[in-house]
Amino acid sequence: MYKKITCAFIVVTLLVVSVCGCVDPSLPSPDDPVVLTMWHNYGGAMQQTMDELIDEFNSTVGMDNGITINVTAISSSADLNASLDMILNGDPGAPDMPDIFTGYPKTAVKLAAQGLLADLDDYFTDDELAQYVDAFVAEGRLHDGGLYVFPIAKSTEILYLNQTLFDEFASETGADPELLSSFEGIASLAQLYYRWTDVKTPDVPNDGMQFYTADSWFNVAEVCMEQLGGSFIDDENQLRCDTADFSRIFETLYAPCVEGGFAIYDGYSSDLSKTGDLVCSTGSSAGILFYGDTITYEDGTVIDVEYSILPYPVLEGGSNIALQRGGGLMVKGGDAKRAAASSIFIKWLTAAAQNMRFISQTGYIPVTKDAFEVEMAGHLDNLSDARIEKMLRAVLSMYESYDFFTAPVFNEFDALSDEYETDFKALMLQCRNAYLSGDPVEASAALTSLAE
Amino acid sequence: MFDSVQRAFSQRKGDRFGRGTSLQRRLIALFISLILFVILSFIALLMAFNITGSGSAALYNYLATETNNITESVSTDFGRLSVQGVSLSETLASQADNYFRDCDISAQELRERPELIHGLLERQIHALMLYMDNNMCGGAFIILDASVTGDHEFSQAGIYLTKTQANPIQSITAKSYIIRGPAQIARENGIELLGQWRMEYPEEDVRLFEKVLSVAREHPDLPLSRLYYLTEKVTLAGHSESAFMLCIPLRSADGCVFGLCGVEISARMFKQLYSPHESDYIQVFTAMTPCVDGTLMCDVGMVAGNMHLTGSRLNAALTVGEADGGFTVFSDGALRYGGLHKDLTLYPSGSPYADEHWSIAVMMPINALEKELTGLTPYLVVIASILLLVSLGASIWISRKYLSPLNEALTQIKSGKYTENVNSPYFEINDLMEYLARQDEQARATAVAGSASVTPMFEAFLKNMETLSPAERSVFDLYIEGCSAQEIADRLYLSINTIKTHNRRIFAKLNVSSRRELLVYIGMMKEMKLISDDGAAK
Repeated sequence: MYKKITCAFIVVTLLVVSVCGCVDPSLPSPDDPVVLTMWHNYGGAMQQTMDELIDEFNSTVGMDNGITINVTAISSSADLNASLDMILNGDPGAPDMPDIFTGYPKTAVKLAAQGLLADLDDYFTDDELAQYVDAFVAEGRLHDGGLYVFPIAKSTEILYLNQTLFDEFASETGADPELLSSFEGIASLAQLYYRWTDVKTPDVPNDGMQFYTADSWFNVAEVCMEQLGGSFIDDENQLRCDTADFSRIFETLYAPCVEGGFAIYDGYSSDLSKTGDLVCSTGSSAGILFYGDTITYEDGTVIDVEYSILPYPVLEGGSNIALQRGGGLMVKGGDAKRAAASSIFIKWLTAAAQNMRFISQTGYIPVTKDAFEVEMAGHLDNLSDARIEKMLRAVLSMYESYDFFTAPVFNEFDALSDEYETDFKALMLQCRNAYLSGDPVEASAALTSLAE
Repeated sequence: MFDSVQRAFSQRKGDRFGRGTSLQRRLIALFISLILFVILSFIALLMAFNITGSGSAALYNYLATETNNITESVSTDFGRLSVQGVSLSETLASQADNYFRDCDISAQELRERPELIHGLLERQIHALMLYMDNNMCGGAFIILDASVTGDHEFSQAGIYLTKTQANPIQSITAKSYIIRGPAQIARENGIELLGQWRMEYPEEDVRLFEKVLSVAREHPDLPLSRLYYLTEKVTLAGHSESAFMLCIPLRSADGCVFGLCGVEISARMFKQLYSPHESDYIQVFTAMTPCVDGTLMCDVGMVAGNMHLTGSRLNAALTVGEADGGFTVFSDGALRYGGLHKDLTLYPSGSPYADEHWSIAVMMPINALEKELTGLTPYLVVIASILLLVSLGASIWISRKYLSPLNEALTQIKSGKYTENVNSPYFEINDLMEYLARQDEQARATAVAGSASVTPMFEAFLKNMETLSPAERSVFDLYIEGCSAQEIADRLYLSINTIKTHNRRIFAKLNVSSRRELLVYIGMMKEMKLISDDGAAK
């Protein structure tokens, strides 16, 4: 009898212990919920998609797990980065660091060095990580091998072409669309376009229209250097402006920038496109939603236009190389429970189903192997937005025939690229004015000035 | 279990009647009294410290506080925005008057001079940007009742600026975009165009604001402070984010209403400012809605809460139902929420919109509310019941287990078999049984001795005594002295098992079948004076 009682006692004790053991104190639960703050840069038309996904998470998986995502800021990457810098520097008035935020590896380097980021390897199993495109995951690993930036959506740079305007131009001038595949070709088309539009108003000299611009001239230089087999940034993190390869790139861009055809503009190329002030531009594939399907002229006239998405141009003789862009999600370190909760959200958000929903409404490239390699093909036919379908088809074709590189990760990268961008535009405007005033500057002299 | 209880309480009821209570029943009653005392004391303590597991009072206080605070905040903020909006309207109208004067036209003639619209907006964007940057709002706008196309019925010129952060004191830089307005003006001022940009407000947008213009024209004598109007939740054509628009007419010096200006209270701004205070009630949210005939028009109102980033999940008109336990039930049939609400006064007396009623409600899904109300009480009741049942079962089982040796002993005593199997776990029972056995044996011995005579068996017994080994003789002598088996073991420093072994051999050699028979012969020896009372052989 006593043996039976002892056995029963042991069994009950084991059951109680095992049931209690199921509640992992390092994870949130409906009885012990957490509210995670989030900053992201998916503004404009992308905001709605992200908001809807977060709402869905909060009311399903989040509710089941006691996790609520609270978006406290949406702004540009640069603005979010500035706020993170304030946090990093302990500036007065710095906001509280969010639990989850979007950003780039270059930002992660600074934050991880201060121990402010969670290493996501601790929250993802090898099997889980194997579901993501290896290169995208590798991008988020920093020098210590830890995974600090988790891929959510990627983009590359492409050539946006206002097909309606180009067809009109080509039909009257015989412009060859094949030339759009190279920067040299685009330069020659741009100058032709400028002259063609200039002569339409013979009474007003030099009022031709611009054909092309780049959202980032730094990216153009960086990618073109890679296409020629070199690198724009040397081992000491300085720009290689004194090389023969860069001279060639500079000279290709110089004539249309100065003589007309290339727009030097501080905003995004999509702004100029909306008013018909541009025919084509290179920019992020994720910018597709900023291009409308109409052109509005100053007198209020609105015309329907069609855009084509073409692969990124390549310098003649260069390799097919394009930039891979897109940051990821970072998670605040120091609180294992909140980091674990954040990882649950990230796993849900980047799962193939959600990832496809996000990319199909924003124009980004998915990050899971299933979404990228399996679901994309079938998904393309069902997209409601024809612009996104075109963009994704172009990007998929690029992934078959292009190599991609990512910008190097070091602290001064932003400052270096901003300085180049500012100097390049200022120099081109200065040379343009000199050209218009009848005192043109030689390309070689301008290059020397830029290099200095 | 129940059989046991029944047995325990009905056992030999008839026998017991009038003869006291059974030991087992008394013991069970004692146990139950003790358990009830402990449980009732525990419950009394919980109640004394208000630890009942029910969150009713705390929840009511929370909702009441939030409803009051948010209503007050909204009222204050909207009051401030309307005052500043009126000031903006006056500034813009003054600038416009100057412009009209410079262009030598009246405000009414702007419609016929579309080429002048660009210049007017160019002058006004700075005031608009300044207002937007310095005020808590999601955006600011001007709409002119005129179009560069000349067709103001279907398209109206203006500027609509929006920013990513509503609150100017938040230390995250706000980025400004333009949704409506001339691109050239945006470029000159370094403002990016949103993807949904259009140069003019299309017809769908125009309809959103026509009420404000018509009411202002119907009331030329009312000051602007009586003519501002808060629209229902609206979304600009092609835009993704919904907003309330606080609109103020633009009235020129000659009294012509030539457009309107205003500020945007975006869904994101509303959420940032008016979400209920962080609490354990994660499903709680605020709703600011027009109130028509006791119905909260949530489909055209705004919601704010952690679980409602977009508000798209509450796109219904909720009727305000009967109060339930101090709380109000809001329902559209399918969706049911519980919480509290309060009327919100947005317009001053004398305003043409003064009869439009708004409400602020702080609520949560009804099942979440009910869960909070019941709290842990069901769990406490279940746990207490289980404890009570287990304790009851345990007390019955323990009582039976504890008393069973005693009952067996009593049964043995009644049946006269108390000398057999005296292996009770209780020392006292064993002692009693041995005592009774000794008494019995002495009585028997006395009876036997009285009729004793030297029989061949007795002679054989005496003769066989000589065959006992010294160790057996030592044990035998102690039996003569009247010691029990345990006492013999203690005195000879032997185990009880060894004594039992000796007993078997002694019984075999003396040809007796039991200890009782052995003691009979010893009694006969004493009677015949063959041994003294202290055991010494003669």
